[in-house]
Amino acid sequence: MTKFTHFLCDFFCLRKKFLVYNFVDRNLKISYRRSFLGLLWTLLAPFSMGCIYYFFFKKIANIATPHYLPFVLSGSLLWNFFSTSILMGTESIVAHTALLSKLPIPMQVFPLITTITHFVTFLYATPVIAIALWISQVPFSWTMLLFPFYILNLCLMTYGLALLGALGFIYLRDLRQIMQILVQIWFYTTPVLFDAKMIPEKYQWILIINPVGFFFQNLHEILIYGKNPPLYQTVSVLGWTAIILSAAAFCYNKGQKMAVEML
Amino acid sequence: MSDTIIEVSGLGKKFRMWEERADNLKTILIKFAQGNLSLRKKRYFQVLNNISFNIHRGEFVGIMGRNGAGKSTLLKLLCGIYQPSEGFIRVHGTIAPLIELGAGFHPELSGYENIFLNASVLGFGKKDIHKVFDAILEFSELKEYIYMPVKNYSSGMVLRLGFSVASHLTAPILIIDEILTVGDVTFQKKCLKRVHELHQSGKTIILITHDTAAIENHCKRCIVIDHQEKIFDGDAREGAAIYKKSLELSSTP
Repeated sequence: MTKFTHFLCDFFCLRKKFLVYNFVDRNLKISYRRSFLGLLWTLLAPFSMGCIYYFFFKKIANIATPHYLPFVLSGSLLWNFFSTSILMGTESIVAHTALLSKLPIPMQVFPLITTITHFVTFLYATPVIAIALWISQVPFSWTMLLFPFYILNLCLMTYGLALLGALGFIYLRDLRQIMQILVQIWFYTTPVLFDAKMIPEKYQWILIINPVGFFFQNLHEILIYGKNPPLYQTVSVLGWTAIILSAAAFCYNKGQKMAVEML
Repeated sequence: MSDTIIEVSGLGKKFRMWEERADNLKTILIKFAQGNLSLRKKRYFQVLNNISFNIHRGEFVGIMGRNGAGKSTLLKLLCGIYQPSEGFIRVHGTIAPLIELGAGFHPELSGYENIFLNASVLGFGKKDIHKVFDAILEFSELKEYIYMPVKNYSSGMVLRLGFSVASHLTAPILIIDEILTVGDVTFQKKCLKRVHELHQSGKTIILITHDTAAIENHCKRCIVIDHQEKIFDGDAREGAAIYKKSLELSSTP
């Protein structure tokens, strides 16, 4: 058991908290240091994105989903966090070759740092979701309190995928382009902009094989519809998280010792 | 005084030989089509072979070797960046590598912020830094510039800051690689003086360099590596002479 906890400490870089903190802090400072509006951009960019989606899907395509503004904002903000973390995370280890080959730093901190950096950026933008919920007059429901747990779950899954991508990228430098295409396909097969119920019966299996398919459906259910999602949907999301984290832990355990030499 | 702090026994290191490494899809597919994506036929080349030595607490040891002799690999093995292929390394205590000055520095950030960044990259925590923060500032002589972005520093100032951080946040064992050859003479002197102080305060120091004079002046003991093996271990002056000889041998056609 102690060996297992030891492994978990390494896997989540619990002994490198100060390093993680400093790098996240650095990333956040750098991205907004020289811009006039600074951190306000983290609110403005997704908000304008949400407005565009709202205009196109609600006003032009006339989508039937109620409360579409908070619906699309919560979805696209989380998707944004998820996809950027994976794409940037994939490159993160190779990008820090210079440091990794000179100093004994555990390489998994870099995908972790990327994930946390984008998560913090997402957190800065959460008021936008709250405002949209308020504007759209979504009635308060106790299920909204589940939101933090859902986010935590998504974070774990994101870290797992970012680490898998980053380890893979050491060996296969095409992975960046492959991931870009995959993430794009993934976006349109995930109910981010539309309601999962709009997917025809015969394509419903897409939600099951999509690790975040039910996640976004559940998210909309707890935030917008005030419903507790059915058990099988929750189990499916948790199951996918477990599978991805185990796969990442397995690859990390197998590859990390040799990987420095491959950089 | 004579207890062993680093124990290296039968150490060997091999690297995979990559003539043309298949790391993109095209190459992999072509090789696969040609039927020579050989996963089993791995070729290795030996970088270090059967190296053994002990280093005792409080020693000041120099390690010398020609380019490509395997010094850097040995150092990375000692620091735990690489894993040994053969033999083992036992380290009793923590090692602080002074391999690169200012590792992790970001040009847009201030000197102050970079001190913390650098320290965390070197593996130290908040408390460690606060203890020596004033000493770092004083040694670097950068007090008035500390809130300025590092990109506006001269290269000498960056070096000074990097060395101040690395030489004040220390572990019982220090590994110094070549860094003392950067900067001007005054800076080098100041660095060497600081390294001496650290030695005096009981740290174990391993100095890796090409500079025979530095070895003769500072180390009592020296290890010479050539052709993947340890060829000498003993008195620093003798070692420096052997190293010079190995250089001459290789330069004669």
